[in-house]
Amino acid sequence: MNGAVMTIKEGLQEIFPDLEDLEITFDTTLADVPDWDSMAAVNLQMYLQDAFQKEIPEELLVGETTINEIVTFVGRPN
Amino acid sequence: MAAYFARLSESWGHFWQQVAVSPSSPLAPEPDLIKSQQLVIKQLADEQLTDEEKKRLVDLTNQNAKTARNYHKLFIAWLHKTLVTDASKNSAVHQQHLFWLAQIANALAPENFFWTNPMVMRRFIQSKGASLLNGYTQWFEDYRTGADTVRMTDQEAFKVGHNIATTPGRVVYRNALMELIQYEPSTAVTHRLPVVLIQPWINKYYIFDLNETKSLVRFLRDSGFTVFITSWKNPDSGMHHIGFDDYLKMGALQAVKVAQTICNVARVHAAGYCIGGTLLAGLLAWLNGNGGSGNTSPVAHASLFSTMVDYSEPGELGVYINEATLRYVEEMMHIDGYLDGRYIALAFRLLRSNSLIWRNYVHAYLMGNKAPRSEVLYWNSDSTRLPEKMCRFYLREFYFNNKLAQTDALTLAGRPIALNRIKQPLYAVGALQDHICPWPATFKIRRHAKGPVRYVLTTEGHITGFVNPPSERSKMKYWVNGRRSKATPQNWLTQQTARKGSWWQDWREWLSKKCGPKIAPPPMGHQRYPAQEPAPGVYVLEP
Repeated sequence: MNGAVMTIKEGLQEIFPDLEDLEITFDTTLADVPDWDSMAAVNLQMYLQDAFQKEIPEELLVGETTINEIVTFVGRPN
Repeated sequence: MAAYFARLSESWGHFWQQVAVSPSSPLAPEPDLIKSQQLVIKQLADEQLTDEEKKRLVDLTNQNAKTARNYHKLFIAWLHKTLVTDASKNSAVHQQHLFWLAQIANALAPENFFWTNPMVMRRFIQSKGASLLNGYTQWFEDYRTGADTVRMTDQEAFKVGHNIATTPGRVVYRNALMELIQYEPSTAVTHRLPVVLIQPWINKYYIFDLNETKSLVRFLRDSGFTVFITSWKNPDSGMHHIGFDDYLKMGALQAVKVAQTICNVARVHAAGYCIGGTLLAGLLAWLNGNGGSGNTSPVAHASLFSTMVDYSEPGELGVYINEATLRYVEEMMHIDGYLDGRYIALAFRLLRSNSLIWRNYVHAYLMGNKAPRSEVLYWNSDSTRLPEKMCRFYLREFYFNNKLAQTDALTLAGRPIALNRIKQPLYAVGALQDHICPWPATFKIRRHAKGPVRYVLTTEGHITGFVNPPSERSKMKYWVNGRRSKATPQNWLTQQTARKGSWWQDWREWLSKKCGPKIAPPPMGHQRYPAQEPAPGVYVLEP
């Protein structure tokens, strides 16, 4: 699994500890995560900013966003 | 009653039977919990764990978590079975049972405990125990500063008027209940009719002016509108006698009058959010109820954001609306003269206790993370009190008796109110995941008002659906239709095509057609209403 995907998965597991059974792929959307909501978006934003040392816009982290889109965004140069 | 206890006893026996036959029963002679405790104690005693011990600790915690989840599921299923009977289904009491059952289930979730949350344990090992110490420090700080529940956001990160609520403007009117702020124009010309924003008074006004990119006020101003906004006084005991009528006359109506005078116009556009929208709907009907029609009202057209006028299906807040709870709230308010903002905040957080209480609890106290820095959460935590008289009236007559939806059943400021007297064009917005004002409830304005209603449904919730700035990256969507029909909300939705982007742009287009030609902006204030303190004013800073 891509390193960035692993990091994102760990972030999601930190927010939703009982997530271990959910398979996270590039096509997984945030809405696929059970109980995904705007509060989770704020927590994931904080986590990703720490993990990737990059400003993450809130509008990136909505239900329809795929893991691939997050990976692409964090992979872009600042 | 005897039958109930018999059933209770039988199901409790059944529950334990399942526990006992479980392969990972806690009745086992050497529970994994003890082994993991020994390793944690070793780590806390500053003895370095070997890599093998660390792995063992994580494995044990995973095992404990799995076992705990199984028992949690069994216990909650037992509780559910015990509480829910065929006879109780679909009753209001049943909804209350389910609500409190969810509170128990969420509170007892294994993730909320150190020994059964693998992520917490992993953080503990990585930080060599510092995460738990940080968590304790944060808990103690919350306790010391009197927080009722774990903080949702970094309270030190924002200061109103400095890095939040910063759009330039001036207070142009103040009475005992409200300040009215007029924003400085940023364009050479502005539409003739101003936009008057009637804000809710359950939180502070600045949800529509968070920062430079997340500001409806700034969006309107930069689109060539003159913008006014209400900032309400945070009431104290001395304001216990302030009623909904006062909010109507001293607040919304006065705001409209001041804007009329400053802009030298006969009519304005008014927009209300949440309870501010309910007040505005009441004002529209009130103004038209004095023998007036939509054509002579000082409000030419209006927008209602996340606004309920019909409380027959109030959504999840309905669990609090019953005689016993209302009496309790009323007795509590009678002591202080107001409903404390802390109780209101807690009531809202309980509606989403997993995401608004327990997840924060785990992050802050068990993992030792700092609370997130978020303008929206900061605003959300900046709750206000509600005056006793107004709150009693609102809960009883709107939520409990649903009088606003009934023709002439509710009297506001001496006039019976009928929503079917609203003839002005309306722009109404609901949000798909709004659990405070569910969109099907906000949809009902189409049936009650007699003028044209352009109804918009946006993605996201009660706050994020409305703090919705257009952006290239935005994945927001909305559905819109202004045609009259008798469609149910769900049928209406299936008939619409989703549009990408923010409804703010659609609203701007609608407003631009209605607010007249662009002319030189009005002055800041007027000789009757001179410009006073700079925005955000004084009331918003009061604790």
